Amino acid sequence: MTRKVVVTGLSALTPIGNGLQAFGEGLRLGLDGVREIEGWNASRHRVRHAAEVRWDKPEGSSYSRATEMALATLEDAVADAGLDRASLDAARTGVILSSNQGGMAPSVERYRELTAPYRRGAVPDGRVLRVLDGSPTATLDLLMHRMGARGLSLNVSTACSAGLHALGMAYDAIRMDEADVVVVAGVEVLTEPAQAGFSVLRALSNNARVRPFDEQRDGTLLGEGAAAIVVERDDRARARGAKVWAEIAGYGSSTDAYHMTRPLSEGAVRAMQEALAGTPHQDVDWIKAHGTATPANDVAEATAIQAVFPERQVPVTSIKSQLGHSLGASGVTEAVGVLLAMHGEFIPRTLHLEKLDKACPLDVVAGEARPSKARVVLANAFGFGGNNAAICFKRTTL
Amino acid sequence: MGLTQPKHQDDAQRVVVTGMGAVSPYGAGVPRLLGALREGTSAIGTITDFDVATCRCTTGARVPKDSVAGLTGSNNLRRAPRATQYSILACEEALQGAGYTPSTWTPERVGVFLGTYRAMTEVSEEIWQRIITSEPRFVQPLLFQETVTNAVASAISIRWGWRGTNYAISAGNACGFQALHLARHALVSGRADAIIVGTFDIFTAANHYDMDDLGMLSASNVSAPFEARRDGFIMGEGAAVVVLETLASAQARGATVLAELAGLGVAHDGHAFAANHPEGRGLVSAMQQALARANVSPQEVGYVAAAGNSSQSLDRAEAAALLTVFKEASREVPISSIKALTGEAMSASDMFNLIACVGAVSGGGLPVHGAEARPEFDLNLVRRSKAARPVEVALADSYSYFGGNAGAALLRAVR
Repeated sequence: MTRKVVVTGLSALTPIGNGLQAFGEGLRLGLDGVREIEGWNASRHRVRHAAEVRWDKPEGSSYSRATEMALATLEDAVADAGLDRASLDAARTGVILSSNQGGMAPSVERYRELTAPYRRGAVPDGRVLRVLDGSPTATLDLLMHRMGARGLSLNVSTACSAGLHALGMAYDAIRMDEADVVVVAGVEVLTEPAQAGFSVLRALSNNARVRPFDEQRDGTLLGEGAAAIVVERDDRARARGAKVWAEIAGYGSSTDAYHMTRPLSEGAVRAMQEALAGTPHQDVDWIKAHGTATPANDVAEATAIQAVFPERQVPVTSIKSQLGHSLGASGVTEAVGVLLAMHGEFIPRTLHLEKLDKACPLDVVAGEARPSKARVVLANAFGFGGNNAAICFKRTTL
Repeated sequence: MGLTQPKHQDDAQRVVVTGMGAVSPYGAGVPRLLGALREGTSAIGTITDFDVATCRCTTGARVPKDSVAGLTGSNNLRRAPRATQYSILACEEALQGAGYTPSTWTPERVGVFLGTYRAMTEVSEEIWQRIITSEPRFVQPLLFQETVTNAVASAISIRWGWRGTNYAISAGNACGFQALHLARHALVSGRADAIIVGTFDIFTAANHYDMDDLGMLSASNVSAPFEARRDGFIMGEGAAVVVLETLASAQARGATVLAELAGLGVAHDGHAFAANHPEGRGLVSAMQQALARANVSPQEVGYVAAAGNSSQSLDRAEAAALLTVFKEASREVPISSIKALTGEAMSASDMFNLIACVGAVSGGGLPVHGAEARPEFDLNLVRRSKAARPVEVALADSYSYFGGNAGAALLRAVR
């Protein structure tokens, strides 16, 4: 028996605002989260810009900043959902994390402190926890404990599409009656390997701006982020009088089986179509694009969008122009952004669009936020390795 | 085809294993792995390919270097990370066993679900090394794109052209069972016709040093699961893959069914970071789910492939879990931990255990625990003499040694 799945709690720490209020306002105002990197010494890097989150981990914390950010957003989302953890059936409560790097050391200095062969010798008691908290597994375990959960727990690491895959897995788990509540958490911090790696892949902008769909776009920039989304069965949400942000109305996923870094439109089309199964295409009010602003992605994505919506130009926007690309966190953080925008009745603008690329003939929302009483929004995420995911959100009123 | 048991479950809801492949510390191939386990042959030896002079634990179970000699395909594959090479080789073997040809399945209906604990650790270290000893701008691009956890699943999709959903899961030791769990969903919901489910975990010198420095490895260089003398685990590595389909699909294409994946369970201790719940409650839940879904009572289980890895708290927690689930039968059910022989191969051990259970229920005999083992707990460890008995139902366990994820899979014979 399948069940309706709804979102009852949200939270976020983002480069344009910490907390739902600030994040929502940042989206509405079109703030640019890209700045010169401050978290570590970027002087040896070719590209020295990124969109960092301004948030420090608590004094004396035994864990990584990534884990602390994830824990903080879990708490905030649970509070937003008005969930009483003690009343939950632990075996039917789960956490799905979406993080590529977890608590990996972000900088060379920290890596040398934490990791062999640079760090050797018996690990002092006080450092054991931090050394253990070096990968998403640890963050996941800590989130499970904090949630009081003993059911479904896993970390999705399908690169840039991980966040929407995680949401999709939560959606599946609840529909298949395996869980009553799943918290989907995304977290990614800025690290030197990522900054170096995306740069040598020529994926990063040299001009300190992320310009999705613009003719002059020259790449993306990395971002940090942490966000959490509480996913529940609708009848449970109703029974406890919870407010509902939206329904997860559909989930689609596919693989290109083509190339590790170059996308193929056809895979994206299939993911979007699957997410829209059961939703008339004409009902889609806008699309939150993957929109990384790399020359390749935006064209492939525009082609895919046109193939799915041949009859009209559905408004499209890319939140990455404000948040940068936060990799494993991006799907979750941007989904929170979508729901905030839906409730705020606007479509966030895509920054830095001066001249639309002719190869991307889309109605890209630019200049200012566009008023929109949207009921249905499609969110896309297309990752390295050809992993595609899409989620359809529908606003419901309880 | 007469199958043992289940009632009123239509064949499109039943999931079966139609192929399996492995690269283990014994080398390439499931026959090598199962043969060694039946003999009780250990793959653990002194580590010679990196310096262990500063370590307490100087042993490990490495995949032999010549294991990938049989790897066919491009030069890129020859330069690929070990995790990718082992996984692709295991996949080749599994597909061969499944009777695969390019026309067997519609490409959009085949998914690849892989689990791993350490993910692309080897590649990640090389990237860091390049940044530290050289410059960020000299990081190798083709290497960097292999650092993503899903690189292996993507490589498999690209090689065979499969375009269904892919998942890459990195979470604790039991991620193999989570991948199986997701695969089961995808198959019974009709979203896919076949799922390649696998795990990979390799270890580097740095991983070994880290674990040794944390005091997690055996300072006495023994892998002795469930024995009183146990003082930590010994690292193992490898990759293993199974092909899963519904029974209906397998029968429709005339595939040989190796075993039915009759029950699955996944759970989490929810207890403490880096410590197992003393009663092993996560594993209790996982085992009970698996038994319940398969409609099998503990007394009917003919063999248990344990998670115990020679750690004090993990083995004790598993013994407690077995007592809770099996009650008196916990003293009788034949059980072995193949980690006595293969070391702790993390997520790869999940699949090795699964494969051992498939072997057990298809008449292949049982893995031997270790001739001299004297368990601290009241368990019926498999000895050579008892290893040949036929088994209808086998249970594979997985449990994270640092407190957390647990998984269990119940395999049933198919006649």
